[in-house]
Amino acid sequence: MGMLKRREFLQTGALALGGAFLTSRLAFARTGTSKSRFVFIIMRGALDGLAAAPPYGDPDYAGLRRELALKAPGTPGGALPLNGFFGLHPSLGFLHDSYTAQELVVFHAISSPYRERSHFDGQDVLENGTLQPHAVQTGWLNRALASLQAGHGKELGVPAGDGVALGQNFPLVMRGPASVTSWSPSKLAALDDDTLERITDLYAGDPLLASRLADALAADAIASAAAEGTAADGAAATAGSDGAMATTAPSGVMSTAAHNGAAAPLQRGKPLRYTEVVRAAAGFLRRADGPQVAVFDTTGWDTHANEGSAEGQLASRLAALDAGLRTLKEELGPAWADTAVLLATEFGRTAATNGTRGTDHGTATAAFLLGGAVQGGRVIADWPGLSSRALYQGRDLNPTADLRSVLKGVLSEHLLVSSSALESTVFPNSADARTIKGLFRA
Amino acid sequence: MLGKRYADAGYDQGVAVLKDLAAKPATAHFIATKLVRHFVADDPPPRAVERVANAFLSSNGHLPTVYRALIESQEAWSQPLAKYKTPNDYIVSTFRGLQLPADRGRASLAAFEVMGQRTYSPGSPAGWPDRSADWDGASALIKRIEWADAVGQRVGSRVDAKELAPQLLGDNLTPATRTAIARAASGAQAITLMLSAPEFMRR
Repeated sequence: MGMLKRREFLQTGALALGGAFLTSRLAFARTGTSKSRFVFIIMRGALDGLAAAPPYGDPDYAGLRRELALKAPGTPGGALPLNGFFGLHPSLGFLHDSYTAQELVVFHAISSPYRERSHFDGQDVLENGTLQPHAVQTGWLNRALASLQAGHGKELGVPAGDGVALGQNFPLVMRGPASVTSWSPSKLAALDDDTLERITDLYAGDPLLASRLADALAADAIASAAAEGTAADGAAATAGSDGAMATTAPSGVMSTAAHNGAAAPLQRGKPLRYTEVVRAAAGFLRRADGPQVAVFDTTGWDTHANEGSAEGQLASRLAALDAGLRTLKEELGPAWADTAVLLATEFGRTAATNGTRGTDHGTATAAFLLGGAVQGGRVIADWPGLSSRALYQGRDLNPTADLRSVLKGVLSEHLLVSSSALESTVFPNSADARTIKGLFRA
Repeated sequence: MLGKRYADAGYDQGVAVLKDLAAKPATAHFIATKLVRHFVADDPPPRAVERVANAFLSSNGHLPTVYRALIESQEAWSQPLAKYKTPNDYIVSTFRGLQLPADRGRASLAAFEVMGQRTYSPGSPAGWPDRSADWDGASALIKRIEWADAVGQRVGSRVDAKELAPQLLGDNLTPATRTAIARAASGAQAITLMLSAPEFMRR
């Protein structure tokens, strides 16, 4: 087991090599207080909120959606019931279980402040936390972690607010002043300890490379420990073999590249590592001394053509995501009780079905907050309706809520980011986006 | 357009606008900044930007002249090297440095993906960003080292890193790297160390 070797290197080498590892945030333990965990899942490509959380009770819904319309609960292929007006897509069985267990809040008619129709700019605003694309080069989550690291560092003498990005690099939301790390499954043979030790020496005078290497090794150690722990539980006797762990899902995960326009390849049938990524995320988060925040991407939500309804393209992507979330809960075990997972996308899709049985770039959409820490079983929406007069620019679900209100609620009441940091550095100029309170169990 | 009116001459009207835009100092500065950021440093040294911008203006946008000014900029060669190589630079410079056969080029495509920049898949129509925060992740670094290790395994028996390193790295080769390569446990490891060295990771 290559990973095991690397972990041994970390454990035995950390003392011997000292210096480089002192720069690693993951190498530090925090105090034993119960820790709030947060997973941010970016759904790149613009999720169709009217399909993921269909407002089947709206009198205009079926007419706009035509063959894409989901039927009311109780009919074959019908939506899963939420509150008599909204439902969940039938592929989202785990989310529905979470709703029933009062661990899921569905937000609807919500959007970031972005009002144009470019994926790239929309994702930039979703991640940078300002009103404009490319206004800053850092992300709101990193800035929030920076405020935590600064605050706790003063009080306790140790860093807090650690984060990990599941992917080779950092998505914008995780870039910035706070120390974070990244991890992704290896496809190449593991390095031997001797070579690693020599490279660590070579990096002794290079702060950036020394810190990145230390973070990578620490992250690998946690991930491999997680994989072994799973195997020991008997949940997956062959954990570690790609074939056994891979899910066959048409949606890509942990792509660090944003979605590649309308003609992006679907990678249909290619084994992808949803399960591996989710297990790794859980492995990081469930440790008392591991990071508090994990971020990963999902792609393939840009359903311009043949979107499908109860079954089809979007249905299978949602099913894969739903299964990944179920695995996340299972893998987190007792840590699920302290966890919140937020699923968000850059914007929504047109209210009406287009000429290619899909939907085009729109505005408002749905977002999902789930986890054992969440005060759920609710849909939070100021529903604008779907009549032609109610639609934004005559074509999109009208945004009546600002996603930053949810983000501020999560950061303030779950991660305990101070309101002064929230209003100044994390979400500048966000006074209009009032914090949604009470999203978490007391 | 910027206070000037252009006669409606069809296609030629657009050409006239573009010609005027190309001659603006702001255009020269914009292009010079992008070039210097891409090739020299995330935060472009102002003097290098100015020199490249002047070359753009004085040559009427003659690109070979512009590139020559970039190459002749002292800042492009000053030490320590400022720019952490993109995955593309890293992979291409490895192939060139080791004179790996071009027909194996396809094998490098997987390397682009594991280092975080899958070929033809940037997240934006503007292409891959030019600031290294986009590709200097911890996991991307370990993938880079693992790939260097795989390259070392492949060529270590026939390429001597002790001889090659001074040729590839010139004055940038540090005593620490030179010593590490000399003391490597095998030819393969020496290649891996050369390709993983801080001075090969940067340009």
